[in-house]
Amino acid sequence: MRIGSFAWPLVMGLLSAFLLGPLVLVAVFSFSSNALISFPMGELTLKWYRDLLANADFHAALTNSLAIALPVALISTVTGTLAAYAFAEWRTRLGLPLLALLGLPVLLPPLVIAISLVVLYVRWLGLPLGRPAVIGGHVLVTQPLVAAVIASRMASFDFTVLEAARDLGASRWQTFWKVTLPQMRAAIVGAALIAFALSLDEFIIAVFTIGGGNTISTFVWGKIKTTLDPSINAIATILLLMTIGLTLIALRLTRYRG
Amino acid sequence: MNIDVPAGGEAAKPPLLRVSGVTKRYGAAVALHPIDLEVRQGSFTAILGPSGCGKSTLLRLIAGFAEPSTGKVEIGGRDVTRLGPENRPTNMVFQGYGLFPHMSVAENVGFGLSIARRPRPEIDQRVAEALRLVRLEDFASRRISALSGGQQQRVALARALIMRPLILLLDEPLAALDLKLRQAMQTELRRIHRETGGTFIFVTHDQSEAFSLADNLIVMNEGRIEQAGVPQDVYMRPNTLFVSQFVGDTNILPGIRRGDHVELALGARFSSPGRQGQTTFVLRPEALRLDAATPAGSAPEGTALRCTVEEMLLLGGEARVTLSIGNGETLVARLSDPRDGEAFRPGMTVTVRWADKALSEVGVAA
Ligand SMILES: Nc1ncnc2c1ncn2[C@@H]1O[C@H](COP(=O)(O)OP(=O)(O)OP(=O)(O)O)[C@@H](O)[C@H]1O
Ligand SMILES: [Mg+2]
Repeated sequence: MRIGSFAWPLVMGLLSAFLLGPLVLVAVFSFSSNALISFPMGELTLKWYRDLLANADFHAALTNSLAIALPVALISTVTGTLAAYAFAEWRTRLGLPLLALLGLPVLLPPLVIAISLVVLYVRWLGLPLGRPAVIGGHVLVTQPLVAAVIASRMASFDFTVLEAARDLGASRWQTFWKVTLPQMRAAIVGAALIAFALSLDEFIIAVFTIGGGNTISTFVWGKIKTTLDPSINAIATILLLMTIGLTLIALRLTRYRG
Repeated sequence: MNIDVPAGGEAAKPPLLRVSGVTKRYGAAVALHPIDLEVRQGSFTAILGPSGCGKSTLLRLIAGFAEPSTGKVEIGGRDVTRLGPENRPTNMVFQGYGLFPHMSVAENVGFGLSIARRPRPEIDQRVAEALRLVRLEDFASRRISALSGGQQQRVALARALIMRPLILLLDEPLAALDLKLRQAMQTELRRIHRETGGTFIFVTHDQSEAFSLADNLIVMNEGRIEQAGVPQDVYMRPNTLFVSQFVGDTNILPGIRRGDHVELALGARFSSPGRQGQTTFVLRPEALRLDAATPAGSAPEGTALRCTVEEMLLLGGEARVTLSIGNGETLVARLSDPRDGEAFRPGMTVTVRWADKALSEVGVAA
């Protein structure tokens, strides 16, 4: 009994250490003067961050990433929200299967999606690879997540308010702006942040569809293949902070209940 | 009694609401069979019926949330059948209230006026007025989630009334409230109806609520109007067995008409010309009089029968006596003074009497 009650926390602790350890190491060594991840730790330094800021390739990758993540967040939020809204308003038997169909890309292996996208763009549509191609691919995976977040908020949405607004003289459009949107705003912003964070560190679709150039994640990949430059640690730490930060804000917002 | 007395210009005036030949189908299912209905200005109308009979559907057709499959809805002489809810001179109090959770009480109440782009001072003044009417002056800046059910109900009422609708529609407005609060809100509704002089139509499946509020009663069943009229008339002279049973307790008396007389199965015979053959009459329990002494016989104005007291229940403010008439038939009598009931013990032989005009013919029972 007593052994059991100690064993479980121990196992969980080891497991967590194994999973989170590398993350901690990466973050810690991004501030270390050592050229490799090795003990003893050298002096504390911001050198790797300074190197990054001076690196033109990194700037290009960061610009690409932002130029992709922003439109992805915008587009998937609009389409995902409209989809969830439409399904909720129709409340038909078709609604659920349709939402599931829309969610299919999340279940497929990203590699399959990436390859299919390349085939679609290059072979069938004759479109060039590049930023728009990555945006299309990312929207495919983020839109269902946005729809799921919005749909779960809709589940607790009182649809009588829409009829009440119409009854008091509001047009459909006014009802949407003054009644629906204010109640959904937190969930929508939260969903947009999640979409942004997902796009920012997505790798497989990006590497297949970006063509020339880099996003942050493909930039890191390229660097790992050639050198084991500690500035990778700095990039990883920046990405980690951004993702965690965005997700925390998003979680707070989406848990909001009118 | 000033019902339907054509008096000069009054007679020419059309009713405020006229629903003619309105039906509603959902696919193959029929929610409303052809409905004809008139409501005059200033009335307090109750639509009463069991669950699923189409009350809400009818109300929503009047409000404009649904279009009838056939037929016409006119308000104030104007055809509004094809108008949406935002263009009709009606406002609705929803069963779940439908208050805007992201707005304060005052913002909820002022919503319709701000959509109509009324000037700020007018909105403020009318919101204050409306809140005073429903006695929520002190709650103007509260959030909706910080209100009790009864207070939310009043906000919904104020939000609709502020629009000064020609017709205020209420869908089971008090259903979510407990008994005490419901009675208090009934009093409030009566007062507000009196003070605003408006026309109210409300839906309920609670017959006591319908009787305590309405001056015009519409009884519905299975998508049809069974009977409409002054509540007391509907109660005392039900047209159908359904109405008779739905709006209170009733004795069902089958009989046969031969010539100008009807013979009831329980052994009474009285004069009543009409269609020959099988028929059914209903008789309210409170129309029965009991006494221990007088012998049986046909009184000129009614019927008197000898019977045996089978059971006597004292129910607080009244007594219910079950009587058995020799041939296996039973009658239930209600005595409004329970002290009268104490005189009758099971097994006693008594005389039950009723006036023939208390009987209502409802045709052959299905
Ligand atoms: N949108 C709809 N689609 C299909 N059938 C419907 C729809 N709305 C109502 N009905 C059907 O029409 C009939 C009447 O419904 P309605 O809501 O008017 O009943 P009600 O008298 O208000 O009942 P309750 O007292 O339970 O509210 C019901 O059989 C209902 O199932
Ligand atoms: Mg209803």
